[in-house]
Amino acid sequence: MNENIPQPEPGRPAGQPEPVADEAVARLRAADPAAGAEPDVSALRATVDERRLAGATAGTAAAPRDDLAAARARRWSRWAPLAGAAAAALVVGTGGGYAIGAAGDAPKPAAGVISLGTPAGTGGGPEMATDGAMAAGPATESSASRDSMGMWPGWSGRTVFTSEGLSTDGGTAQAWAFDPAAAFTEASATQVAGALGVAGTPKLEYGAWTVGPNDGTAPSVSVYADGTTSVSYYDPTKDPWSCVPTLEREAEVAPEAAAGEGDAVEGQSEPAIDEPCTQRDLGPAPSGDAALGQVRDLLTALGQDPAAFELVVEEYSESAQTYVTAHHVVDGQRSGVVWSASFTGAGLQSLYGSLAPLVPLGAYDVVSPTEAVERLGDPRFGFGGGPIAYLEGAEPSDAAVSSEPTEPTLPAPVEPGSAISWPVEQVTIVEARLGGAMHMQADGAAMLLPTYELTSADGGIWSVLAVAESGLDLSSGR
Amino acid sequence: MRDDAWFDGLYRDHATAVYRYFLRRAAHDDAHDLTADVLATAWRRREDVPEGAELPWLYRTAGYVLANHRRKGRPIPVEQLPDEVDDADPAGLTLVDDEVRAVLAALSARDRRILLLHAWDGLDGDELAAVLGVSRGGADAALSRARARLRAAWTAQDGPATDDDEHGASDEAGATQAR
Repeated sequence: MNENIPQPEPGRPAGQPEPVADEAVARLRAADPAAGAEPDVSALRATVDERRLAGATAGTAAAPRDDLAAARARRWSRWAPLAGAAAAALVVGTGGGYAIGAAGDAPKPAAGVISLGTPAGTGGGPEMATDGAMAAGPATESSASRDSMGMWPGWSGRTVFTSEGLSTDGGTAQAWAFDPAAAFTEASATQVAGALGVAGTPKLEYGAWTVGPNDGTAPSVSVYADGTTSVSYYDPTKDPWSCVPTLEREAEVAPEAAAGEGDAVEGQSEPAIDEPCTQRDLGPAPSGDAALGQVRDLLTALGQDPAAFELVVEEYSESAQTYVTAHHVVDGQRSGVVWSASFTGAGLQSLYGSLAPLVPLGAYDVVSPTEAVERLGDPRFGFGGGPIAYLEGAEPSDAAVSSEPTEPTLPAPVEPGSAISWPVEQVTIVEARLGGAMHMQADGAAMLLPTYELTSADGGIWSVLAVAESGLDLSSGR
Repeated sequence: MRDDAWFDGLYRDHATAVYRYFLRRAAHDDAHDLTADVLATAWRRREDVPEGAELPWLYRTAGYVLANHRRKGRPIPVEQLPDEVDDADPAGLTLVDDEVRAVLAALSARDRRILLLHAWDGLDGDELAAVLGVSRGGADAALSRARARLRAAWTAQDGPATDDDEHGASDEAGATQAR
């Protein structure tokens, strides 16, 4: 196992200038505040054993559960973007008439994805989603707006919601389920590998259909047994940061291992000796329409309908890569399912997405916008915290937040008899948008459920499940 | 079934790594307690700890424990935590190198997390993938992207005149915090 001892970058002879990227990582490594630190082993063990005993007597025999597997089953949520809420065009059908792929002929941009049950933190750490749905947090992986989910300065976590001018009429709205059984097959893995030009036959390993070696020496693609049938493709030969000499040697040294046992080649314990590993110049990545065109073709080859996606291209002057995100659009709104592709000068370098088709579940009764606001204050649906996002330009000032240590200051002394500060936020919701949001059941089944996005007078955004209680099974999951 | 001998081995192999994880991300005084929490959790849920990938499991659990700790007394069952924890918030990091802090602050939370798991906790390849809960390919790609952005952040940091460095850095840090 990797211990935490900072290790020198392999493959760089002493005295030779470091590649720039390695220097950056080396600088980080040098700032490691725990390098060489050792715990008081016996005291620590005593504390651990105390808690082990406490756990045993409390009878906390948790049901067997594998966090990692469960997390993998939910991996879509990490990349589900929270985007463009400000530009959200309200395109909600009135009870039926929803059509997947409506964006194909719609000139206006799709409404932003709604993420269900995603509170913003009050204290800096992430918060739970009340309905068991995982926080569908960050925007596209390449943007910095993960932070936008995190901390809003000043939110106490106690919030009272009222509504103003919202309808009291409920209605019905369409729900969908993802059908992973239709997509998690050897045949679809073969099709995906064919579309991506990955050689080999699918092998079922670690709960996924994989084509190509799993050791990062050659292109490979995996199709996962999760709720949305995630697909992950990666081509190290087109990665400007992959070390070519290392790749070649690994392929040479362990061809059998490369084809099968991943762990066998994991030990890169014999560092390259004389071959400096620098960023490779793969030439300019395809840009703009060229990249978009490639993703459209790719989606078609993967059996997806490009018309059901809204494509966004990102290029950075500093980066040798171009990123394209294809947002799946359902009835004029981004569903949260994305295909994410990155290109280098050598071509498609990585791709992630979801294969499972959407199956209509029919219309469900939904609560009215006014009731939806009441749900924000109901512990069964709401979470009482800060907004999941702000409209563009409505973000709170960051004046109070500084990550730089400043002069030490002590809190003001509390006067005897003075009122205790117990801040409660008052939020007035003035706008409601009914759309769909991804929801993952405890068993991993993924759905797109009617969900309200609620916007306050000052531009904060919340979301809450719209399905009426008549459509919910509220029995405990334990 | 896993027994005391199994736990002894786990403790021997990984207690120090978990302890250092917290030293890097929490107050020194808390590292001992938090480490004990993670190891006690590993015992309680010993049937869940994947064989051969114990350390990534411990790091992942440590991320949850840290998140809970920062929420100060509002514990969340591990089962209900979001996939992604922000265990590399520059505000919470034990860092003496202000330039490093400023550069980290200019990166996204996800990039920071990946870079610190790599540079400090020594993870890459399958282990990094396991901690992040993504495929090996996904982890490799994410790490290479994060490294590219780290490099860009250093370039940006070194760009302006040195006198302005500190000012520019704290501006960036603030922006990253609140956005």
